[in-house]
Amino acid sequence: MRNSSLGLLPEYLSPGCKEVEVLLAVKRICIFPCGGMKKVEATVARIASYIVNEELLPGKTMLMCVPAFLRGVEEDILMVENNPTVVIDCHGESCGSGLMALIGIPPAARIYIPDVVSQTGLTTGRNRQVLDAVGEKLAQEVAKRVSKVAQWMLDNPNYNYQTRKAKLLNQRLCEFSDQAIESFDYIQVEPAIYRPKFMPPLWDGISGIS
Amino acid sequence: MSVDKVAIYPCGGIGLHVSCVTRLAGYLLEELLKSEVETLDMHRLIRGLSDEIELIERFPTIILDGCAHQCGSNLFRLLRIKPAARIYIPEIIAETGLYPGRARKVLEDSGQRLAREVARRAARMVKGMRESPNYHYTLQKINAVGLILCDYEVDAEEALGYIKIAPGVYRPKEMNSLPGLEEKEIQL
Repeated sequence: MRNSSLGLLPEYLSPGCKEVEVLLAVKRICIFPCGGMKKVEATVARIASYIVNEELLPGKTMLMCVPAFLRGVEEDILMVENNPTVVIDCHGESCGSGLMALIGIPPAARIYIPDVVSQTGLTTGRNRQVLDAVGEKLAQEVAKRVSKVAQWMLDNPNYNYQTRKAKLLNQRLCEFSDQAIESFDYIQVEPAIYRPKFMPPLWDGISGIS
Repeated sequence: MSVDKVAIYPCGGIGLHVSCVTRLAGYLLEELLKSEVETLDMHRLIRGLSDEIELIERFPTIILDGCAHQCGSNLFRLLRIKPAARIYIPEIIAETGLYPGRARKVLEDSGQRLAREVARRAARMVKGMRESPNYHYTLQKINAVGLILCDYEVDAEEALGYIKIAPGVYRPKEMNSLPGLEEKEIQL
């Protein structure tokens, strides 16, 4: 892994990434599954996002396509800038959170698949092309958690979301650093569900509700 | 240097059905050619995982661009790495009449046939690179500092200097010609 001490920390208040003081009712949620190729967990994350997008919350979610975002496809930029994002990290490498940190847009919530595995006892299975039955069940469990967070944000009129502009200039890719993700200071909302400490609370901010 | 392995880079998208075609084609190539190929995981690459970086620096890469956005080629442009070749799926669709279909979780029959066709063409290129004594690959180094992300104005095709070799098949002009497609000495 390449380490970096070259300022990959998300510079939320820097000139390249200005915070926009616009408070919005949440109408749609951006889902960002890690979308990788090598690990079965990545397939689980991708299938879970399809389940939410097509079956559980149709019309209320959008899927962030990283290659299209980096290309500059407008809808993929706007979806992550203007809507709360639920990132699905499939593995300890946390590629999803890593990209969010890089572009200076903290996710509203993070679903961490290793925790779902621990919690449910389900495994990923071994097939990346088409998930095994057990991997499919795991994807369903991940989808439930994504959907729970998304539905909560959509339903809660007091959820205080601010739009943000992505940091696109003078960027560096392919430099591994945990510093950026650590800066999110994730706190656990419930098993497998996290949010950055400085982002608006989910149900963890309301006593007696879980 | 001779080519031990070829990297395959399916565009890595998630929204469009055609990105599922490129992903499946990558998996099919791994099944078909085993250790002759390795699929690039672009998410791990931009995260900075050293095995992914080494893969595209040390070995020639075939990009599978799923749609007209050409996101795969764009990432290589950003990283200042030249692919050995690029397969452009929209032209394969036009040529074969096969469509990605409308299911993303598991591709429909047409999408699976399209993925097999893409894999077949890529496999031919891999064999040519691996078996031709005339094909050489020079190490490249990623240069990923000072980047401007999300700049749609940049023409990735032009930036990489693509020339068309066959329907759906391109390579940068300055990269080696593709054995089996541009040279007659290898019969695959």
